[in-house]
Amino acid sequence: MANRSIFNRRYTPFDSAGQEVFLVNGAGVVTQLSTTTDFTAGETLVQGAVVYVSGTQVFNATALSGVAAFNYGAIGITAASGSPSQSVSVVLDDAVVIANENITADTALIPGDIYYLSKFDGQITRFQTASGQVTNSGTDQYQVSLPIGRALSTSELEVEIGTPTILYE
Amino acid sequence: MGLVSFRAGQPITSGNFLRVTTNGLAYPATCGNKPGATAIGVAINSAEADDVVLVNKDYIYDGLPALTPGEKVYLALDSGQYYTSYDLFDVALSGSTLSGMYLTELGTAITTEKLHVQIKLPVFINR
Repeated sequence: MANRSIFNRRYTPFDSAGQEVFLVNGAGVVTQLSTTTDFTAGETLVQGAVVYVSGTQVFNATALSGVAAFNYGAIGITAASGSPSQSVSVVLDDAVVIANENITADTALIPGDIYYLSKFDGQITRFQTASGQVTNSGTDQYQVSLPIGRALSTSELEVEIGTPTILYE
Repeated sequence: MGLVSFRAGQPITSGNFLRVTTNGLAYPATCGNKPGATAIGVAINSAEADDVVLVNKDYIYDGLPALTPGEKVYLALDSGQYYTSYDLFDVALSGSTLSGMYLTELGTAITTEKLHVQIKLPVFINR
């Protein structure tokens, strides 16, 4: 029987006094079973900020009309606040607490609602709020519609970042 | 669940992006045809035919070289491989003799070697 790779382990045959047994060699695990990852803050970030990555640094993302495309390449939401050059954890695909100041035109999340990247740095917004719609008509000034996730409670968002849709007036 | 296991239909190398066939076997995926472009995840271990291969379909995979942080990664024409940007997909499409290729987003690079696996359904792009 040949070597076997099962899950993250490598099994190698060994003859033990005439009895074939398999030894676990423990090949390296290449999957990180968590989607919270540490980056370096490229600017001051509040807890609950939507961020994009550039090199090893993360910055506030924005969907504002006219910005370069990398600005809306959101990868996740900060799990804590961070100052420039400090390490900051980013939740890529899990539930995360959103600070009130990071919700455009609202003071709390509405459970069940879908939230989009806001035109304001690092914030999320519902499709329609007092600040306008996620469109590029009139004064709304959105360049993209980018779903960020769904509210689980008044303070928690399930992060599930979608594909950006470019908006035209 | 982000980890699933399959039986390999042919030799598979860890880091290959895989598809699954109707008989439940896993094969390296390709963007050159529709069934091949429906990727399910990335192989965590290498496997010979009939071996079990563990597949990461929704987590961070560490060990894909030459990624650009922030860039989307796409399934390539070469079996199991990937393009590190849309531009590389576009170049391959222009240089191919196919009538088109299937654009399958595999996830977002978060470092030069780590991919946040988030596979989307393939979209046909005409040449």
